Amino acid sequence: MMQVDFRRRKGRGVFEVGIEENILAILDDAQEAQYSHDNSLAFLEAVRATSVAADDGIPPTIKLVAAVFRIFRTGKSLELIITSSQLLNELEQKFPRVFVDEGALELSSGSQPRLIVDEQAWSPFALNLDSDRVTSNESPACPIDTLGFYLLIQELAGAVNDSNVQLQDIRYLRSMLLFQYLVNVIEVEFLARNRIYEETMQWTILRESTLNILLNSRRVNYKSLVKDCLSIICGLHKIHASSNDFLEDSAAKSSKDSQISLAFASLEVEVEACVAVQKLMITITKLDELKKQADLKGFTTRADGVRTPLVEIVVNELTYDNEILSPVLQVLDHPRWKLELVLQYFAKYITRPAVRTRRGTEPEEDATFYGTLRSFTNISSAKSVIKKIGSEALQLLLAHGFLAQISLPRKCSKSEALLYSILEVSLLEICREMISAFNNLRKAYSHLEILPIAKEALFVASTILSTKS
Amino acid sequence: MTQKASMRSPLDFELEDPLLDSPAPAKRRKKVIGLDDLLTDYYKEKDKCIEGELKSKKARKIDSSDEEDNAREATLSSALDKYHKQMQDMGGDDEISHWGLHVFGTQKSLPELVLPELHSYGLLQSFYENKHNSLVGLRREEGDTFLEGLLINGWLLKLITVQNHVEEVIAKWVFNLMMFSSKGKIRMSACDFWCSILSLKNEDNASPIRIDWVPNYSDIGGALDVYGYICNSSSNWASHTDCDLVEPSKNIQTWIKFVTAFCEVRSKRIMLSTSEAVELIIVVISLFLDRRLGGLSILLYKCLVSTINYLTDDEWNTSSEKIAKCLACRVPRDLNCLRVVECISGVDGRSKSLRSKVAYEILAIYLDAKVANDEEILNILMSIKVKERSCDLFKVYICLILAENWLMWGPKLEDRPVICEMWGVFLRSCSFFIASTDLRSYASKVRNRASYLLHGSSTD
Repeated sequence: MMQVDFRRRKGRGVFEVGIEENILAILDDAQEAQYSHDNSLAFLEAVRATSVAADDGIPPTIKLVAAVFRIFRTGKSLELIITSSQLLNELEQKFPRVFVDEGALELSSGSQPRLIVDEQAWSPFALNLDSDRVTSNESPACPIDTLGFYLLIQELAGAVNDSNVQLQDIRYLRSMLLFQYLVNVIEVEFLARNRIYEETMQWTILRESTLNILLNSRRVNYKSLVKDCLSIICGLHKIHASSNDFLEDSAAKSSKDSQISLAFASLEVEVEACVAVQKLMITITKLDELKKQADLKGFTTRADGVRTPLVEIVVNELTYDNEILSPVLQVLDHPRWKLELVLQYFAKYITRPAVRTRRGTEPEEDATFYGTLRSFTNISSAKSVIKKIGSEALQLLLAHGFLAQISLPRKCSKSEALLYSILEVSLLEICREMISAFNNLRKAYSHLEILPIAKEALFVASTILSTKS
Repeated sequence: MTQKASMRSPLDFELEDPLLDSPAPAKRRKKVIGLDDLLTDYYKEKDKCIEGELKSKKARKIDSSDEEDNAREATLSSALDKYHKQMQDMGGDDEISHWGLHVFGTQKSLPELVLPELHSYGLLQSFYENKHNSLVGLRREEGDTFLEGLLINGWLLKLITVQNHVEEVIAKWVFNLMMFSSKGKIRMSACDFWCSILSLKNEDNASPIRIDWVPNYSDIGGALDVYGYICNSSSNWASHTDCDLVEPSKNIQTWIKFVTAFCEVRSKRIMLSTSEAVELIIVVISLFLDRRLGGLSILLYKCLVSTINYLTDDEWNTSSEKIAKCLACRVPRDLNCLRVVECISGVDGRSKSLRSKVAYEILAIYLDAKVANDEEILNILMSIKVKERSCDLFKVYICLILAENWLMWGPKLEDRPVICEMWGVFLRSCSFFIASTDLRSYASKVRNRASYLLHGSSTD
C-alpha cells in the first residue's frame, strides 16, 4: 500500500530543522535517559504523522529515527515497544536507506535504474566500526554492530530452548522484534542491490551489502550463527507443539491486562520470528548462489574470502542430528529452498554418476526429486539407502520433498523449470513414482512402519492420481 | 555570579512564592518551543524583578560564615528537592487516567468442532477403497485425525490447488477450527488455509477457485459472540469492569487475521453488504479499546486498513460519515475517545478522512454543539477560559486533541483561512494563558501540546 518515496533529503532546509526541534521538544520534559511514557507515545505519533502518514511526508532526520530506536530499545511498556517497532518498520518500508532509483521519470536518456545509498540516513547497523570497538551493544540507543547481531541470534536461540526462560517476558519480546526488524532491513537492502547487480554484474554492489559484511566479519562465527538459526526454529516449533491447550493456563485467571496483552503479543511475535529466521536463511542462500556465480566469472577477489554455503552447513547439521530433521522440515515452508535441502541431503548418500557441480548449466536428471525417487526402483539400492539414512529420516525426506515438489509454482523461469524437472516430468508422474518408491521400500524392508507424514503424502499422491487421470 | 547561574541555584527558587512563575523551567521551555517575542518580553520583565530581589538577599548573606552558609544551603536544597518532588507528584495525576475497556466478557460454550458430514467427505471415502490404501492402511475411524494432519502439514491446501475446488464440508470444518479450536497449531493452520484459498486462483484461467461455502457476516460476528464480545451494536460502550476477568479467547488472533484477508479479496468475491461492512469496521475499532489485545495491535492496524478498503468508493462516500457518527455515539467520553481516533492509522486517503471525521463528530458531541458546523465548534473552543481555576483542563485536553485530529487529517488548512485563524486563536490561548507552573492536572499537557501545534503551524 505504501509507496516508496523517492524524493530524498535534498538539502536540509530550515523548515526541516524546525520540525525536528519541535518534535524532539515533546520528549524534552524528561531529561533523564528514560522518557516518560505518554510523551514517548506522543513523540512516536508525531514522527509518524509527519513522515509515514503524511501525503508529502519527509523522511525523518537522523536524530528523530535515533530517538525512535532508543525508545524501542529502552521502553518499559509493551505499547511503547510495539508502537516504536511498527514505526521503524514503516519507515524502512517508505524511506529505505538503500533503494533502486528507476530513473525513467527524469530523463529519457540514460534512464537506467541505479542504486541509491543514502549515506546520510540513519541505519540500525554500525558495521564499519568493527575494528576498534569491543561491543557497542551495551548502549541501547546505539546501532547494532556485527557482534551485536550475532549475540542477538545467540540470545534468542538460548531463550527459546531454555525451559526456565519465561518467554512472555518483555525483554525477550523486544529481542524478537529487534531481530525481525533487522532481518527486514537486511532483506530490503539485499533485494535492491541484487536487482542492480543482475543488470550491471558489478560484484562490489553485493560485496558492500550489509548481509555480506555481516557474514564475512571475522568477529562472527558464521557456522554457529547458522546453527543458532536452526536452533531458534526448533525451539519455536517445540513451543508451538507443546503449548497446545491454552485453556489450561488461562485457568489461572488472576492475570492482569498487561500480562494477557503480553501473552497475545508473544503468540504473534513467535510466528513472525520463525518467518524472519527463514527469511534470513533464504537471503543468505541467495547470496551464496550469487557469490558462486561471481566466483566462476572471476568477479570476486581473494578479499572476498571463502564461506561454506548455508545449505551445506544446514544439511550437515541435519545429518548429524536426526532429532532436528523433522522440526526443521516442518517449519520451512519455502518450497524451492526445502527441496534444495532435501536433494542435497540425498546427494550425500545416494551416489550418482553425475556430480552436482554443474547444476544449472546442464541439468542431470538424477539431481532432481524425480531422479531421487527413481533411484528406489531397484530394491537392493532401496535397502542400502534405508541402511544409510535410516527409515524414519528417509520417510521424512521423501514426504517433505514431495510436498515441496508439488508446491513449486507451476509457472516459473526456464532455468528453474529445467532445474526442478517441472516441464519434463508431470505432476502425475511424480505422484506415481512417489507411491512406487514407498512400495519398493516396503518390499525391501517388510516391517517398515510408515510415518503419519508419509501416509499423508501417499494419500495426496494417490488422490491426485485418481482425480487427475 | 552571573544572572543565569544564580537562577539555577536552589536559593533563588526559595525566594519566590512557589505558585508564581519560576524562571528556570520557563527558560528551558523557551529554548525548545521558541515562544514568540511577547513571551520573551514577559520573561525579561520577570528576570529583572528577580535580579532586584537577589541583590538584597546577597547583601544579607555576607554576614554569616561560609560553613554555616553551606550547611544551611544543604538543608534548604534538600528540603527544596522534597517540595519539588511533591509538586511533580501533584502535577503528575495526569498519568493516572487511562483509556481501556473490556470488550470481552464471559465466553459462551464452543460449537462442535467435528462436523458429522466430515465422515462422508468424498476424498476420504474414495481413498478407503483405493488400492494404495493397502500401503497406508487408513481406517475409517481415524478419518478425522487424519484430516487434521492433512490440514496442519499443508497437504489439504495442495489438494485444493490441484482440484480448484473447496467442498462445503471442508470449508465449514476448517472455518470452525480456525475460530474455535483451542490448539494453537490447528488454529493457525486453519487460518492459513482460509487466507490462502480466498485469494487462490485457478491455474488454467486465473479465475478464483470455486468455494462452495463462504462465511457470511453472521458467521464472523457469531464467532465474536462466542468469545464473549459485549460491545454490540445497540449498546453504548461502557466499562464493564464488573464482568469476570476471563482471558479473551486466543482465537481472536486468528479472527483478526481472517477478517483482514477476507476484506482484501473484495474484488473477487462480494461477501458483505455495505451496512455489514460498516458494522465490521466499528467492531474492529472497538477491539482497539481493550488493553488486553494491545499485544495484537499491529494485526489490528492491518485489519482496520483492510476493512476500511473493503467498500467501493461510492459506498465509502456515503458510509464514512455514518461510521463516524456511530462511533461518536458509542464511545465513552473519556480518554477512550482519543484512542478511537488515534487507532485509525491515516496511511491512506480513506483512513485520513475517517480519522478527521471521527474526531469531528466526537468533538461535536463532546461540546454539545447544537448546530454543529466548523465555525461554531471553534467558537466554543475559543470561548474556553483556560486561565480560570474552574476550567476543566482534562476536558480542554480532550477537545484539543480531537480538534487537532479533525483539522490536521482533514482537508488542507491553508485553504480554509478562517478556520485556520480561529484554530490559531485557540492554540495561543492554551499555550500562553496556562503558566508553566500551573499545577492543575493536564495543565502542562494542554500547554505543551498547544505549543507544539502552534509551532508546527507557524513553520508551514
